[in-house]
Amino acid sequence: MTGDMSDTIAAISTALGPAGIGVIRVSGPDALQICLRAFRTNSGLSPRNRVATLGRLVDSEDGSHIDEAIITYMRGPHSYTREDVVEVSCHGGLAAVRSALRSVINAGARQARPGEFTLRAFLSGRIDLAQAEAVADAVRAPTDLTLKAAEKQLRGELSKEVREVRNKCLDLLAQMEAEIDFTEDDVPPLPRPALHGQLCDIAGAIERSVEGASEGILLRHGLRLAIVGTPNVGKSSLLNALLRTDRAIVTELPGTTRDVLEESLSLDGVPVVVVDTAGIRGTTDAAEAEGVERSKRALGEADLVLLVLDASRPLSKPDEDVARLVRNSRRPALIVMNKDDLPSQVAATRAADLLPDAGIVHTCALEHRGVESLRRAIIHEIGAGSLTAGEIPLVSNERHREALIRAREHVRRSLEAVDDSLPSDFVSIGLHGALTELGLITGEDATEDLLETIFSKFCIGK
Amino acid sequence: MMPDDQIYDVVVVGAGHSGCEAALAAARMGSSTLLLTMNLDSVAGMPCNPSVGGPAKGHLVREIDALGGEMGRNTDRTFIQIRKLNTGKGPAVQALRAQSDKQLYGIAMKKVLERQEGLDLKQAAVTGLLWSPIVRNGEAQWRVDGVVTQLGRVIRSRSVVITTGTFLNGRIFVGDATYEAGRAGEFPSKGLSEDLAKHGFTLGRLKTGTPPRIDARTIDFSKTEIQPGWDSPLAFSFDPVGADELMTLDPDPVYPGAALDGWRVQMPCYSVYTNERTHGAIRSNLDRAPMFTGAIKSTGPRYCPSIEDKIVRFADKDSHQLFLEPEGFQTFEVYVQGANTSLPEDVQLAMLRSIPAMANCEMTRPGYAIEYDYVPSQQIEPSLQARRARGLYLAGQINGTTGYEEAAAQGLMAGINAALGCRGEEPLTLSRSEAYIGVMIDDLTTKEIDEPYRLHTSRAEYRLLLRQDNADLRLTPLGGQVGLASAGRVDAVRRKRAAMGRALEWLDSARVRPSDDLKAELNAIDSRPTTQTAPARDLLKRPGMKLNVLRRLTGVKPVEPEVAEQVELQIKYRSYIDQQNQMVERARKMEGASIPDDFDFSRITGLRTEARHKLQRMRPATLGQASRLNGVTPADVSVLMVHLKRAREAAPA
Repeated sequence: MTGDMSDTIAAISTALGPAGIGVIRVSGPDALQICLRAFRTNSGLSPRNRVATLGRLVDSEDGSHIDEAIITYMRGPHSYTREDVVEVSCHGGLAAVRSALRSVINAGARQARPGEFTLRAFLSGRIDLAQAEAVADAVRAPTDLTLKAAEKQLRGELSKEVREVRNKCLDLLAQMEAEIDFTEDDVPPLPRPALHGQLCDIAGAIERSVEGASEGILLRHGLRLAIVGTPNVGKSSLLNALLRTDRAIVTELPGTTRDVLEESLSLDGVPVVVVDTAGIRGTTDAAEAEGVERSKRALGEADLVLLVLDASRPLSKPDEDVARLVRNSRRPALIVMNKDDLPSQVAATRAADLLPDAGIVHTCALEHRGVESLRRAIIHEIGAGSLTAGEIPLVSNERHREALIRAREHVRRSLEAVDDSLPSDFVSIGLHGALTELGLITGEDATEDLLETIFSKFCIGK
Repeated sequence: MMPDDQIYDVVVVGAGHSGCEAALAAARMGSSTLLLTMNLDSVAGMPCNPSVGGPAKGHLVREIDALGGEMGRNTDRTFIQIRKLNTGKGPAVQALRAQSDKQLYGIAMKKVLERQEGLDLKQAAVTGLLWSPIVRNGEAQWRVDGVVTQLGRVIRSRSVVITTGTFLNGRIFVGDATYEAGRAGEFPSKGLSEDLAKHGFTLGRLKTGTPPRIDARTIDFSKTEIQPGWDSPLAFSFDPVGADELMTLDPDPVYPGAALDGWRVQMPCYSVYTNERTHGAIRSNLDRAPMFTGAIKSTGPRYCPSIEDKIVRFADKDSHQLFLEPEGFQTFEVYVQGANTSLPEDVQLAMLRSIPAMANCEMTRPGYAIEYDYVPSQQIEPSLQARRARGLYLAGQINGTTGYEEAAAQGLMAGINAALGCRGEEPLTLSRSEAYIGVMIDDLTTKEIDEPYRLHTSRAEYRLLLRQDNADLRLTPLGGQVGLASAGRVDAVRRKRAAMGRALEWLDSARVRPSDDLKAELNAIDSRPTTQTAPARDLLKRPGMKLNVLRRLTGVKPVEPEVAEQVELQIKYRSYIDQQNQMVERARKMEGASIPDDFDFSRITGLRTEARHKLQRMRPATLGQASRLNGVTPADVSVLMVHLKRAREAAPA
């Protein structure tokens, strides 16, 4: 991740592949001079700040024509990185963008490492750490809701909230430290009830920031939904029905594995990875033991399990075995009574007995009936109702949630110290801890490891 | 005595609190040492308050003692009273404070110096140093080879420690009167400032002050509030001085309330309050105060303001507390604590006489302000060696600090490091999580000091770890390693640790059965009774419960009180101590990331200009130090982090 801020970096900033345009981004002290070696304006004049200029890309070595292009010069500090930035828009084909990049690099730029533009924006103080992470999230956002959450964070809403809480901690600490240094004559001690009140305020503010974090994290990571059931209960039809009702089939979420059949879809804007665990038969067959293991693993990783039953035939021993697997996984689940169009052979009470805590939805996947209510049941079950109603939570990143929770714990310890009538000294320890945790979110207390971890997750060109 | 042509290991210039510790430490570590003072009759002088200790300062004295310094023991020999402060606050801010007999303190210290093997104590005014040009880190620098005295004598040495206090070009102010002096009644030190400046040092001016002294016979003590000494034994030193070493006299009967038959002869102090008339007398004469007329341009200590400063800054307070502190057992001179001033003499008297207890008081000497040269402390390394002059160490007020304890602690470290330097060993530096001394020296080398620096408990992040009660556990082993703390002291600490370990182990399994005795003990600390056998550890967690009470209840013999105290603190405050330890661990990473001596901050373009200049000027040795510089933002620290990592990766392994 380490980059020398004194050189000029360049990278292809758009996805590779046939496209109308592709953009090469160049940032650094020599961005303009370098680009001028690889670009001739049609007017023959130097590009003006913040004005798109038409011209052509040439090979910086032999001057041969590469492509027609538009370059936009953004003089620092009013740019993404706060350095001089030039964006070259040329044709989007693989060959076009690659030769454009090669030419810029031959002219003196260095190939940027993943996340290096954003790292520079962070290091120049234009954005803080939480905002930098939001950039990565926005780039990868699979659904519109995920994008909204990332944008909220990018606008600095979380950072603002965290900073406010941090300032409250600092104010309170300053008061307590003065009390520690001086005699009661000089600085009257903060009355304990007032101290208690201020600490509760801080704890409350942190609490409110964490609210909705699990839904936010769901937006960022996507919901893992496992579909289980014995063969021929209609799992595949159910999956197809879910896919078909929402045409917004999305790109793959990062980190998903393919050892079981996985499909990505958007459920009212919530990104969902559906894991279809093929059929689970009886567990007596040794050859299928591995299949069961895999299903168990899929169950263990799932945020929600759909247990699909064929309503048109009586419950079988294998149905009960699968239900036991679900029960043992202790994951939240819904029972889907499929083939609802045929005469029911399964009493509702019998089904409910299989998974006592699970809701029951009736569907006919082949005819796409009941799919809408299944969708609502899923949204309801994962507590994402507020999300689909448009309430975007402040926190959508596990790292931020953990830091906030640790900060809250520190403040709780301070409150305990107040309750135990311990001197200010002990109260201040928790507040110091909270300050550090909050600083981890915005980067005020970032460590080298943390920076490394965060910026290494970026794609090149951002 | 060393022959004249011999080279000393260490020459210490100035025999104040800093110089005495520096010289004793160096000599005790085996360096041949010469201590030079302009006046052999004012060794370890106390030109301001003859008090030692207080919050943070008391911690310093304990740390000095733990490392093998003298201030704690010398205070124990000569105090007229000792107290424990902040007993109602937490263990971290509790501190000892003593009033010394001003004359006896100096006499006792001189006696120690004179009897120290390997140490010569002589009178001479140093007016310059011996400099040799060297090249270090590709930079033209100096090596200091000795000193030159006012009489032209050249004394050669491997290192020099300068501890000149307020003497460098000192100038005294009382009202519109001003004259050159080192302190009232003594010559200033001339020539040395100019010599330092000539060799590339930047100098600044600071100001400090002292209140008037009044005649005890003219005080109506019946109108004061009496503040007696502690009625049970207290001592600064972890190795209390024997009765044969004490230097005390019978208190003069003019002072009411002396304790003559307690654990030790002690005198009280007395408190009074200023009133509207006092403030009026000051306010109507502000146009004659050099602080406000512009005659004094330098900055005074914010935390030790003059009385006129207090009246102006805290205009809404209609009264300030003052303490009347005898300057010794048998002198009539009384120090008026809280009344630092440089107002004209007649205004000082009017101000004092506005207080009922002092309505007829006579001043024996007026208060004054003194302005002096100092060397802004970014010019020293954490070892206190000058950045641009090998073998030259600066300690005490010359580094911009104020206070005897701050000076003594620096003197001790400078003496230790000068001695280590002579041996060719690495210097001893203490971290912020090890000692208040570490906090202070880190502050000095990372903050730009533009007012006299005084140590406060709030300056330490890890207060709960840096308690005055555990200074021996923290530092005596280090003092032993460098050869300063005696083998006996090191061994005592080892035994204390072992005893603590055994007591903690006992707590792992000890259980206390319910009994009338236990009930009474719990009742005595307002704790709820227990009807079942309870683990001793749980009972000890209760506020007020003592380890030795639990041991008695279970029929086990008691442990030493110092051991019990440590065990009690560890059990009662474990979770808080753990939290601070975690914070230390977290910070250690930053502290561990060292910045090479020759690192060129000016070439790092990602830094903001202000931060770049600051870093270039202050030259922090670690990332942690860099992060504490004013004007260096977290973003700047991130930039540095990235570049340092890059530099490390680029460097051959």
